[in-house]
Amino acid sequence: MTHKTLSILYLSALFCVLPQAATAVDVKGTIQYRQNYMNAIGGHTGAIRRLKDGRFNAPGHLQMHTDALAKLTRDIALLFPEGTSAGKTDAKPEIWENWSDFEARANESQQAAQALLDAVQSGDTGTIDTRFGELTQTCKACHKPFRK
Amino acid sequence: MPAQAGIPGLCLNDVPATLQLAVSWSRLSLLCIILLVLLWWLSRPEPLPALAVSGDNPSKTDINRGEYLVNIAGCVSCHTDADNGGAHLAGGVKLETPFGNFIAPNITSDRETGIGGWSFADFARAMHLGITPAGARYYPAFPYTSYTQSHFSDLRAMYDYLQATPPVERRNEPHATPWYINRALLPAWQALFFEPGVFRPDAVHDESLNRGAYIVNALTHCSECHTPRNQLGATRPELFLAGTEEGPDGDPVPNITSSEADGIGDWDEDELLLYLEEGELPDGDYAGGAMVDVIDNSTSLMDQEDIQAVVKYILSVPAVNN
Repeated sequence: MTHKTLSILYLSALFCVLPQAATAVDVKGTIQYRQNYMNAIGGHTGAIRRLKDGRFNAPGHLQMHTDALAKLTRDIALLFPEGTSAGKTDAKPEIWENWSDFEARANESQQAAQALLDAVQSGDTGTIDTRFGELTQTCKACHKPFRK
Repeated sequence: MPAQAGIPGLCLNDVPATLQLAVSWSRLSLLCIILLVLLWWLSRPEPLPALAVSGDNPSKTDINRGEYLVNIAGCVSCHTDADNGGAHLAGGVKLETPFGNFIAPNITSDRETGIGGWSFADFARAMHLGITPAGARYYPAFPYTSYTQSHFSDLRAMYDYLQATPPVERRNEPHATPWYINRALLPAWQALFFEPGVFRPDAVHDESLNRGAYIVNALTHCSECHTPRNQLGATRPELFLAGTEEGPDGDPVPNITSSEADGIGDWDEDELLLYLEEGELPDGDYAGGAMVDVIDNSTSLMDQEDIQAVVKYILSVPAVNN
């Protein structure tokens, strides 16, 4: 086999592999990361609940958790690339069948988290309660069709 | 040569094999017919207990109480197709099960397409005995298997409320079941797996625990999803509330007995209360799937006394690992 033929074969093989390598999703890693990430959202939500109910007090913590939620909820849709519905996940295939609806619901959570952050910064307890309730409604609204 | 038992004068050894087969088939058929007749007899409709609950002119209070009961009995989740903009209680929700897809009917007061033409006896027969006004049996996708435990005074209030709902004209769609699942089988199913009977409080328990048991078992019908079913679709009492991998829409449903291993044995009253009122789990996660409707349309609407009773009862359910 000539040097030229070998080079062509090598390059052809490389071109076949490269695009796949660039787009391949680490399914298990993605699902695990997604679960870690969503657990973090749940953790902050549960923490806010305890602070709000006076079960624990620490200055600045309400702001800290709400700030985290406002940031974390920005990228929810990013956690669900195509091809990650199989494996140990509670994500339902309906996410990818109704992607725009899913994305809209994720955005609603982001907006509600931002509104809660605004309320926390204003310091009005009544508004904080209302905004927190609205935020948790968006969690359920998305979990209902899209999570087992 | 001895004659074959059961058929006098006929010696099966003398006849060809095909005829022997025919004879055994006819025996089998006879047995089946006897069995079916027996099941039919066992499942014959019982007369309803005296419906001494008056109320030809229900008061606003009766109707409000009926609305409350219809809510906590979870009627709205199946009978209102909220996701597709369906009218309140006008039916249309599809319940996907291993036995086919069942479409919840219209239960508004519309006389033609709803239950506006029903008498209270029709309603009570449906809820207590699982029998349609025309005398057919309901598929157990309609949880009369739980509702049978409802007090007749509660059924009366629910009936009064439903008759007071605005009529919505929406024709019922037929259920989509495989050929081998049909209403002709239902009398036998009821004979095998269904026993009508109003809830009886347990004298050992206090009033609140009994109230919780009544709500959970007769109205909210938690067991219909949280208890695994056998091959013929009947709930398995030995695994009461122990969860199943194959719940509605094929989704898993958790064990809610007090099992520490896979139930909610480590939950306290506050945690369960928060979950049933808001949908928030102890770790800050939120409910998903069909349970969201249960929370939004039923448990979150219970008054404090009732929800406390439900919490107390559920936490008292004996642990079953599944």
